[in-house]
Amino acid sequence: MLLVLLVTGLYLVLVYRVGDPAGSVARMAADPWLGSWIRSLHRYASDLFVLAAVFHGFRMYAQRRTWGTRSLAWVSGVSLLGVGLVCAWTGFVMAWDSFGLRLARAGGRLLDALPILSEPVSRIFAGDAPIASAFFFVNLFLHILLPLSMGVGLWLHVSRLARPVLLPPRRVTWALIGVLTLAAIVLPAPLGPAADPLILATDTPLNLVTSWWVPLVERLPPGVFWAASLAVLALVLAIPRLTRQPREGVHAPSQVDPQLCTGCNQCPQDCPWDAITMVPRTDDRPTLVALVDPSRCVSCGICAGSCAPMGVGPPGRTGRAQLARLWEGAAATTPRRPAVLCCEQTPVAHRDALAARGAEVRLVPCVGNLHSSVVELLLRGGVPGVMVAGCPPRDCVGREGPKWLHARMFLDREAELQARVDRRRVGTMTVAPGALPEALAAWEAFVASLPAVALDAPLRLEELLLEAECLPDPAGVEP
Amino acid sequence: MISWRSLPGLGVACLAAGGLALTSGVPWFDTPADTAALRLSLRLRPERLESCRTPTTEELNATPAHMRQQTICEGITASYRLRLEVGDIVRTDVVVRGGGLRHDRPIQVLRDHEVRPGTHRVMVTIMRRETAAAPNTTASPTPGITPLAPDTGVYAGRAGREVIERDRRRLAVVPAALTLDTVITFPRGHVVLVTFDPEQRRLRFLTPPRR
Repeated sequence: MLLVLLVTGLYLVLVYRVGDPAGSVARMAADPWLGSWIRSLHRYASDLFVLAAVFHGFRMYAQRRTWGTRSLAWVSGVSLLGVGLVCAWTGFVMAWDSFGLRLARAGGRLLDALPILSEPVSRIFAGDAPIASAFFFVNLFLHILLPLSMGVGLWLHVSRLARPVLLPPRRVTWALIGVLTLAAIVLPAPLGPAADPLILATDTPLNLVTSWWVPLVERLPPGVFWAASLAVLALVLAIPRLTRQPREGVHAPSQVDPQLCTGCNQCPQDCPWDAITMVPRTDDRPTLVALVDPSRCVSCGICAGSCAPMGVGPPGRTGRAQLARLWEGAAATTPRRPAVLCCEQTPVAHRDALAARGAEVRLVPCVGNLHSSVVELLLRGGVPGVMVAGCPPRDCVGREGPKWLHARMFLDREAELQARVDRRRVGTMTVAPGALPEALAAWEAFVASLPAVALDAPLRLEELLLEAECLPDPAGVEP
Repeated sequence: MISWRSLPGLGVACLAAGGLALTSGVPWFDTPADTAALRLSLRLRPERLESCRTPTTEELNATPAHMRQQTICEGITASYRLRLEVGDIVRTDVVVRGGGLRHDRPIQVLRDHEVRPGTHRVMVTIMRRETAAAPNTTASPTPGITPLAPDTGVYAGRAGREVIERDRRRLAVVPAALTLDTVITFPRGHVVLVTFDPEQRRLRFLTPPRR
């Protein structure tokens, strides 16, 4: 939406006249070929930007992705939304219709309550003197400066992410633009009569998305409005503090076992938060060793899935710990059912439905945390097929779990599933809330394909032990 | 190529876009149609009520050269009673004073009053509450006090500039009593503005041109 606003705004700023704001906007709105729909598209894109930002923030809050290293993103995001609302305010004032005048008065009322200006702003709009074009110039300047500052804010917003995804999928992008453009053509944005301070506005069109605060300002004393706004803002900005979790248990940051670390540099490449760096060793080994920054680690465990020697990961979720948990169930009687390794975010109803269709459902914190050796051990233990069910790629709490899972299972990315494993008995699927039929269909198709594949005889437990490739854990860390 | 499976989603998206477009211009009925308004928009510089005297030699010697003045004035800034009557109804009767901690900033009044359309008698009065101080003393020297030596160098002409500045301030302040008593026709849906004309030093009203 920011790109749409930028492109449409470039045209609008060329047509807009500071000396005749209402007239230039009226001419724009009356131009059926370009001005009308570009102006409306600009308006609707700004509304959608606000709605998308609010929805994005709510989603982050609901998924508990607001604390720790994500607190910078939260604070910067709230600030960006605030700047966006102020930018929308300047945009409406630029049009200088009856609604723009109303917004200007509301803003003046708020500013006059603060002891920062020597002359009250509201008297500019009293009507006893023409409004100087300098006012509209300053307004236009702010309307351009604020989005530029949002570019800096956006950089800050994603500064703690590796490989930030800034654009939606291309199809979604073009579909959104197309639908908004259609709306702009069919339902042009309203434009009230030219602002006149000496005319009472009886039915001003109000923009509910960006100007919902105007009726509150007009009815409440400015001091009350400021106090309430600051209180709400303080509460929202305090959410990282209020929602933070102790760095223990499932939230404990990853740790590196330097004896196991070979310095292969895979975990820094896979970490979605740039929390791992390679540093020189302090012993006599020539390779580098991984170092985890606990302040940036969100305990997603994706590093554990990337490590072939299983030397890194959150406590209890390293590759070793995953195998040890599986080891405990290795003595189960055969025949085994096909297994589904589900992400913990999978809805319970989906898990139950898969279990009802004959799946042996096991949970993993994140599919990116899953070590490929777990899949191999399951298959060697007699499970006819293993399906890994993760969240939609763009909705993963760990950000890149499904992406790295697929690469490790099928594209030989470290720690890759060994070549000796029959890929026909391994599958990955997305289990999205609301998409249960698709998930069940994928599962049934996978299961249906399994009987056609000749299964190797399951290994006995003693053979599994002999083939164990893991070294004993030097730290003796219990899973 | 759009698959048929995307059509329901596109339909929902179109509906949502239409809803977004409609929320962009929700009619907001904030003012009844059959009404008018009277707006008081005043910017008044309050009068400074001072008593002035010639500084003593000791005071002059204690003051840096660039801060010495021929006359020292001390006093207060006046406050005013603002009263608005429309017809026989008193709409406003308040005390107004200048802004700032010393109340020496201009008095700012911006109030809207709803008025029934039609012709009404409007009376606006602004009266200074404090009585005037004693007339300013002249610059004649107090007996026994050596007058300030004539300014020279960079301070040349300072005494004259002091007088000019005091005269300018005296002319810029609002008169001690201002009254606007007239009959005004309030057109429906319009605002009649009452404001202070600093050049003519009187209150006046503005009615918008009929559309």
